[in-house]
Amino acid sequence: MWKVTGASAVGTTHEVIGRACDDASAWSTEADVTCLAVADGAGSRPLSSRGSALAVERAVSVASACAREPGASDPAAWLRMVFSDVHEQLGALASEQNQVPDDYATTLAIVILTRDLVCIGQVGDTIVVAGREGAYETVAPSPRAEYVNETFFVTEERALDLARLTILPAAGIDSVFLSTDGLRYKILDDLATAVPFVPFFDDVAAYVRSPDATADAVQRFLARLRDDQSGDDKTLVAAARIRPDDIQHTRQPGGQTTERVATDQTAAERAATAPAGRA
Amino acid sequence: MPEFFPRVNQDNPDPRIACALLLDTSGSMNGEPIDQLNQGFKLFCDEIRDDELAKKRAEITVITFGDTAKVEIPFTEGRDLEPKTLRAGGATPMGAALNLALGQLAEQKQAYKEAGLEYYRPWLFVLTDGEPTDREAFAAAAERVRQAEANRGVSVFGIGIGKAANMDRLKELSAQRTPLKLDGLSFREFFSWLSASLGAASASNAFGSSDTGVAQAEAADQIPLPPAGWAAA
Repeated sequence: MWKVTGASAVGTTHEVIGRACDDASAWSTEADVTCLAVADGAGSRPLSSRGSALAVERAVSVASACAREPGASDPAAWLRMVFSDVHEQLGALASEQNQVPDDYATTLAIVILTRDLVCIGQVGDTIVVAGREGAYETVAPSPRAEYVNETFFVTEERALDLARLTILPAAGIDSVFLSTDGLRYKILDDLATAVPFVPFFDDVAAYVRSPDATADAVQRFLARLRDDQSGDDKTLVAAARIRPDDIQHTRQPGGQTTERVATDQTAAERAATAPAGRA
Repeated sequence: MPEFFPRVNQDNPDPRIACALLLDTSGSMNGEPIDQLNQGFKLFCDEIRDDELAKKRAEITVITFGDTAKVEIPFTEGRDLEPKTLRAGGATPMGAALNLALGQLAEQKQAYKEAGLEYYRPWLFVLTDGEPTDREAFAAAAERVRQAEANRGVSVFGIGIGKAANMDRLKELSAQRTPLKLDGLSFREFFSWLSASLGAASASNAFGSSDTGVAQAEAADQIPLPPAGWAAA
């Protein structure tokens, strides 16, 4: 089973001009299917925060429904369904509001975790990292070469053609992280190659597994990370695999039994105690 | 419970904003004008060092055109920029200076890309108190500059100094920005504005890893330049 947490924080340059956070995230766990989504509304578009909010909600709900359907066996089709649904929904919202879809422009990353598969779909410059026992890899990073690294949005006509779809066997993958581009300077070791910065992902994975992990604490971390070099909105959603037998039943002083998750406490404590701004 | 603060990468280099200053050092600049220019540039060096972001994000080159067009100061980070006393003399080979600047800017951008650095749209400033004496070279160079601007590869600022500055020639350098005239010899005000402007640019997130990416970032985050108090009405 997977444990998930995540949050967003408004970017420092957005604060200066009084703009709200255009990033959004959502996740769901139902039966054996966990779905995670992040989206970054285009800063140049007036209604993009509504675009990103609607995108993640729809993405998670459509992905979850597709993957849980009896006999569902074509994961690439689930991902395509997510992008075409979000594209249509944003188009419908735009026409209802007498706007153009471009006003709601947003990037979108969706991850579907099933018993057997890790399915990743991305449109735009989102960052998805998969972890295997402390080794991390960025999945299908957004290309950077001249003329191709324009950020693409799910609202574009060619959104489905632009989507980067990756299907991986779930075996061995024990953590998955989603982010918008606002954190790129802080969580990548190298911007050009999108190689992950390992200590960050080690610390986040350990934290997510710890029993006290909260979305509020993730939000506070993002808000306190002011020197992010991008000035952009920041979002982090992290999922870590925990086995049912990792759950210990701990007797509390009051005689109550609570579920606790066994973790690498040293790593969790290290993550939790690293002072702000320290490398 | 202690606050969650995972280790983050503190070593990724900041995005860069390349700024080429093309300064007229022809004979007519001799005396008070070149003195004021030198004082203004010295002030600029001090002020850019005081801007937390611009000192590491802005990279400045100074190209003069007088006897010849030459690179007086190669691209240097704001924090390492040192004043240099420029001397006036000779004609106004502005076309040669523009060609030199375009070459320097292209090389700089290439270096950014190779180093994996993101960048802002580079700035090209042309300050003159006269008109190009290399007319043919200037016509071709001006065309190249307009093309670079149209390709969103550079922002061009033309500035005329004194009554003899040919504003029509400066106009040929940009289809997007009208050249301005310096109010008297207010070089100090101009350079102070330039350091503030580089500070404002550095504080914006109008940068990317390619010219297309930069243009897209600019659409989301326009750089608010301070008012040009140095310009003549």
